[in-house]
Amino acid sequence: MTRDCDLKARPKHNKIQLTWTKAGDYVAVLRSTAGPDRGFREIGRTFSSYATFLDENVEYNVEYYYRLIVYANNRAEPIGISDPEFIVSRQRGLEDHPPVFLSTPIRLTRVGDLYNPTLDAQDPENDPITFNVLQARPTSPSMSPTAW
Amino acid sequence: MNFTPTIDQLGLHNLTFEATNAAGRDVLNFSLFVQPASNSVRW
Repeated sequence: MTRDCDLKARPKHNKIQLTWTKAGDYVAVLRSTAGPDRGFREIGRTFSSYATFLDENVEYNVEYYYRLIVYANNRAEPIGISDPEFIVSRQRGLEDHPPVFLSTPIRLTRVGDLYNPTLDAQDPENDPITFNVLQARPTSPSMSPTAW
Repeated sequence: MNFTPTIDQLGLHNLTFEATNAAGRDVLNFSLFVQPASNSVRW
């Protein structure tokens, strides 16, 4: 049921602004500090046609994950759920910034085809970046969580 | 990371990657969909 609604999170002072591609009639906004696959709690709902939500209860230097559950009017069951979006709220003026992913690799492959995604990330100060696989579920013997 | 899916791995796979250095990190989550192999004939 996952759908790509292009959820983005941006820090704005001590708040976090969420934006996405409009889907359904309303969305429930979920947040977790535990990880991309656990600990989510609903922090609000929005009917905004502008597909935006401002999280005003944010602490600096805390790792947040956000997800959206998309609903249609007159249907109790959700019609979609976004991928988790990660962000750390940081105070302005910090000189050294962490790397940032710039895009999402292709999300489709076929049985028998080699899937070898190119990860596109940038460090604002051009410092070296290390990539790791944190999770690959269902796990597979041919998918090893190593840096490359 | 190399992943060559087999027939028993059809469907959605949740992937989480990390880009990290001394200043901090970013995390990217997405779902990879594995579909059946094409039946097309190559000449």
